[in-house]
Amino acid sequence: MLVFLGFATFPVLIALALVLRSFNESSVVPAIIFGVTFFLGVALIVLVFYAARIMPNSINALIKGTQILGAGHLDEKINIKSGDEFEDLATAFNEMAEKLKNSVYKLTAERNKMQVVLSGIRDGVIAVDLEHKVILFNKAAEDLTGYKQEEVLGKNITHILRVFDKNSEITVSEYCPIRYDEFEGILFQKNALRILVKEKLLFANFSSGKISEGANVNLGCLLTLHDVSVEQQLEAMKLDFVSMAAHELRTPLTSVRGYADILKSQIWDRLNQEEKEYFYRLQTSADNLGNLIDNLLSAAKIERGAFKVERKPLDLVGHIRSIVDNFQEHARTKQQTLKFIEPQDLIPLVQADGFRIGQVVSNLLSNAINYTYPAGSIEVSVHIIKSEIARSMVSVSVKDTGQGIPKSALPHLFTKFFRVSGSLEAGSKGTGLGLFICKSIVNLHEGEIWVESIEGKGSTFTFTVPVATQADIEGYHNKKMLNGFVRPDSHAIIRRA
Amino acid sequence: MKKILIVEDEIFISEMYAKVFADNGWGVDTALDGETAITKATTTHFDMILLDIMLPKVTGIDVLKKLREILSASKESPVYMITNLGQEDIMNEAFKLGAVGYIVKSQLTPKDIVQEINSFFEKQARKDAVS
Repeated sequence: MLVFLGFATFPVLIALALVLRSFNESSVVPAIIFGVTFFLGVALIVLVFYAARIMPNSINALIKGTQILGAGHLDEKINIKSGDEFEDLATAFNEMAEKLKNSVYKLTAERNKMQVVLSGIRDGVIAVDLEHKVILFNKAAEDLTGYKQEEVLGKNITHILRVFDKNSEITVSEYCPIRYDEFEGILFQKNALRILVKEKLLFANFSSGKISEGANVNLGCLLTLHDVSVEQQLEAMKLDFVSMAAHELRTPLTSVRGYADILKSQIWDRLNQEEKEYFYRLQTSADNLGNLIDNLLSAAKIERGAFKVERKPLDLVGHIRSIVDNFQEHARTKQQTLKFIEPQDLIPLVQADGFRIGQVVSNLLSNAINYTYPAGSIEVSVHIIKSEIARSMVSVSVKDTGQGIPKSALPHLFTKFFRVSGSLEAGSKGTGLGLFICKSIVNLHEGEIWVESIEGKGSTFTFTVPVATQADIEGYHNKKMLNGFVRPDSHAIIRRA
Repeated sequence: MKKILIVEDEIFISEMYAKVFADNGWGVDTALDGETAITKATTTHFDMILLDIMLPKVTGIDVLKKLREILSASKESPVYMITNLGQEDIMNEAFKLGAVGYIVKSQLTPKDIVQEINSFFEKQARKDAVS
């Protein structure tokens, strides 16, 4: 603009020089005054002329440019080459637009990335707002439910799916509680839930989470569903197979046991000692096979959650004493001493399933006999653990002077299919189900089972069962009046009471 | 002589039980499937029926249902289910339909079963004597 002014001043200076020469002869001062006034006047005219012609062009260009940028066309440039402040302003606008364009690009890329990630996730991801309305529904959620994102957006999640655990429905306020606080993390998490969608039942591991800014961006919670329907089916098939196989195995076993028994009663008196020993082995092997099958069935039931105990008031001392008696013969064959230590204290009735607790004690005893060297000793004792705050418990310990258990094996001892490897291998047998079943039985009694062991010195297995309360005892007597019956696999025979 | 009907599709097991019951003074008849069992029990009165659950064509539970429904010579006969299945729901159903006992075959010898049946009748006799 100053350059323009400079050019505009040039003719004015010539005019001023002419005027000054004409005024030289008369008076100099009025001539100067006149000259300056004339100059300023001309300058003003030029300036107004310039402002009226040039400035509106720049302003218009700026207004138009900002409107284009405002409409989102960030690639457009404001083109002002006025060489003045308008051009500077335009340049600043253009730089700002460029930065804005980069930010928008980054955000879009981020959003696209998020969408690729969400659609790539094989778990269903559903986001709901603070009113439980769906605001995001990824591809896996579509595949899982059969709904399309556009069908469900804006709809309440409860109209799309319902969530059930084994026993009852889980409400939306349970699995997706709306929280306005700063909490961030997992709100709800449960495996193998039943999800009812469009009258179809799915099994899914279900979890929901919240981010702390959730309330600011209207995000109630984010649900993820991991489809485990196939796994559930496989698991059910496996359990069915185990049950079926066990049943099929029991059929020939019935014949083996039955005919061995018939044959024995017919020819026993005519057998010599060696032949009698063969018979004994035949029957022991059939018994072992029977126990294996029963253990497999029990383990399958435990996994299915169908394994039950029928607890009633029980004289534990008498029960255990008789089980120990049954094992005397077995211990004698290994030249071991097996002793039941009579308790010093009075042991009250416990609330327990006699058959199942018998299984636990038998299992511990047969382990003790198997893992103890000849001439070793095994002691079974019963103690009362009195408690003022909680329910009193009775503990049963089976202590042996056997080979003990390596420290590294102790934490895994009660897990399914675990067997101590290494030095014990030679003398060990079984499927690794025994202690797993023991633990399950004890846990169903709300008791605990544990082991203390020193390698080379021996092991002590202890479990606890709760004392029967007065209510338990009265409840049992009342129940006995209503004809009940005992479960099938707890005893070989179940009679109608 | 008391008469027993053994309903069992496994021929080895069926013959094994038949022999031991006969040896213990029972009159024995057998059926290898559910249909035959219904026919025999309808026409003949049995003092006891041993009924397998897993049977071809008609299951043991259905045989039991049928026996209780129709007019049959063994309508009131005590029935022991004999099975190698340990399914509680099936057992409950059998008891609901009036079975008096449930026996897991593989865990017992035939002699044990004869003993169980004999003791059932002894108990029954004691009950009858009291009333």
